[in-house]
Amino acid sequence: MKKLIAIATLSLATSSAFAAHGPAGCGLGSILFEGKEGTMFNVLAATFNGSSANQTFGMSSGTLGCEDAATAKVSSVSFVEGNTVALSNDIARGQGETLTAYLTMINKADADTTVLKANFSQIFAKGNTSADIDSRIKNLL
Amino acid sequence: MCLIQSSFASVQLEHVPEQWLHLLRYNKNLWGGIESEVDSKNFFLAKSGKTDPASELAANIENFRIPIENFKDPNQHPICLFPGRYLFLKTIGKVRTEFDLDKCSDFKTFKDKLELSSVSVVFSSYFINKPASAFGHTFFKLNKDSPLKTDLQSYGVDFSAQVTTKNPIAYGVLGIFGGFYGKFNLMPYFLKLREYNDYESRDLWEFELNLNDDELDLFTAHLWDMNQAAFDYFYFSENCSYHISRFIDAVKPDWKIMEAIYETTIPIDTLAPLKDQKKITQGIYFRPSQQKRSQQKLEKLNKLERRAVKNSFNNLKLAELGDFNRNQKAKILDAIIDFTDYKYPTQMHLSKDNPIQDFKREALIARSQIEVTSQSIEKFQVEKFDSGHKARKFGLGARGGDRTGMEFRHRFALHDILEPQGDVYSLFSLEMGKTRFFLEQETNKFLFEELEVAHVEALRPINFLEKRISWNFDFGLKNRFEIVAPFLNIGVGPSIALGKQNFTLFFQTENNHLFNEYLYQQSYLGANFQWLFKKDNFGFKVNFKKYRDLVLAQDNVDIVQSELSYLPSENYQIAAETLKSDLEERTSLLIYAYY
Repeated sequence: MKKLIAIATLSLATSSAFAAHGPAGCGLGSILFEGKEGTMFNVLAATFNGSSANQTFGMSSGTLGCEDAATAKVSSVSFVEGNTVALSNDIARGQGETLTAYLTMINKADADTTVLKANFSQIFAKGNTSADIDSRIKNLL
Repeated sequence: MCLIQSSFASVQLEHVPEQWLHLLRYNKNLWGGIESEVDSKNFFLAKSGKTDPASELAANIENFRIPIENFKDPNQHPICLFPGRYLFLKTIGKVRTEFDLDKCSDFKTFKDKLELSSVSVVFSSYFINKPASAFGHTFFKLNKDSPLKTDLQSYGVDFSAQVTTKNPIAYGVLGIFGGFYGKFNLMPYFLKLREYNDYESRDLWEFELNLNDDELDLFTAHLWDMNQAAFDYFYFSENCSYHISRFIDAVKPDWKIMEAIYETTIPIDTLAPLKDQKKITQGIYFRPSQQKRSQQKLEKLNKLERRAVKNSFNNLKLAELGDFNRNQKAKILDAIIDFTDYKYPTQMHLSKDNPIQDFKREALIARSQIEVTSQSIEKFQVEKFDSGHKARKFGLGARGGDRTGMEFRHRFALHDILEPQGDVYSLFSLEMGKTRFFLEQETNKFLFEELEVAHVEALRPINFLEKRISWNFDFGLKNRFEIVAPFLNIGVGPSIALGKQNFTLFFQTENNHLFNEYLYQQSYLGANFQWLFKKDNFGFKVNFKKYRDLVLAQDNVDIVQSELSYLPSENYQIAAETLKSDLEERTSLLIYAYY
């Protein structure tokens, strides 16, 4: 884990043209935990509304690791990464705000979501990455 | 330091439009001159721009005339760097140059991506389990469409410190005294939702601003201007809420939104002007926290269904649900899913596999096999926002008992458990900077009696799923026998809620040390039983404390305390307090004014 964090931090620092979903990624985990050490630090970081990493985001959210470098928009994989928990809840239940937003994003707003519900365990199989989840959903629709 | 731009009259600024001062964050400084809060040089085109709004204005007008062809990268043209200033100066006729902003490709990409249809100010409320959320937080949401439809496609903008240290002590010191730079940052709004609403279980209140299309254009362009702006960050004054308010003020000075800001900026107080629904806000929306969403689902369960939920969590394995019909199964599983997200947010967001994730996956798979769709209400529009009361108050009162006289009190922030909760508070006290002075009638002496630096009490009633601990702590300075000495009180214990009442038993310690054993030393350890009753604007509590005096090795030190609070309006509080112990006996009657 520590090693991963080190790699993530390093690549954030060195790569200015940060790709769509690099090592640090767009997930909440990387935003919240990356680069922070210890409870005390976490408490203070949140108290002072400090941003989690040292880089400057400015008006380009690309550096947050959420956007596709080419289109400057949030990619569907990044969306899955940032919303995995909520998306899995929605798919298991058959509907919800996050699922609707995701389907709109991939231009499948009218898709039949029962297919996704029926294939839940396949889409969210243990060890699946955001990219796996994203491509499995797209394949099913 | 947070000086209000109440009057620029003393400075010679006849030729500088008022809004220019707002857009470039000028303020009167301590020496009567003018200075911008922005601390990065790139933000100014004139050398003396930081302290001279007129020369900065002239430099902008001049630089905006430079043909774009002179720049290898058009994005470096002054108008492309500061489109907000250009739009403003164009509107008031100070700049006549026609300039196609689409030529600024970076700005155009930014603008196209936002597809801005309206702007909301979002307030993330308190969650006492996280001391970090102590004062709440405000940020912008840039709506793509109706705030009820496109939260997950929209962007968020916050003002936050760029942290440059990992040392917690340095962090605190630098955060308070301006050691970090603060900047505006853009991120997909879903990250804000996940962090505050889900991960930290905080309610989100949203105020959609009543801005027309031209003002929205200025808003977007001004955000781009802010790319060049870095500010010294001051936790208590020039913090997130201050900068969010100043931003609105720059785009729409007519709203006079900064009038609600004092020298210290408490986020909840900056919302006061936003409650004006006709002029400033065109809609208020509420998104309940993960904890509330989970609570809603648990409340819908009957006894048997609850038992199934409880058994599942006890063993971290789904209980046998064979006896329930499919609607019941769906209800039980929905409750389990939401409660897991609320109770174990860290485990849910770790990339590493863990037993909680496995348990929840089991629940989700079971849920996906039931053909019942269910949807919790994620967000809805509300008529109004009730902030309960303001954070600051001062009080005046009469005291009887051992010594009679008058009391003077002041509280800097934020909320006492007896005060009305409104829409934002729950069962907690979080008070800072609470001071008490006493004018003794007999001697005519004016005494400092007590400063509570912090007073925190969190009642977290036990429920069928959570054996939670309630707690309190309190520290500051106390004047005993005319010697000022530090005190520290800490208590932990279980609490039960019964309707409007709360019963709590704290294992409590009270300490007040002079660091000189011949003078005075208090160290009590024992039980503190508290009965609390709350209804609307009324609150009452009694504490029975039974201690052992550790210094004198004496048992049965008894203290009885009671407190009453009533708010006839949101601006005033009538309060009464009694205290009876071996050392002193007093009763106080007080009137507080919030401000």
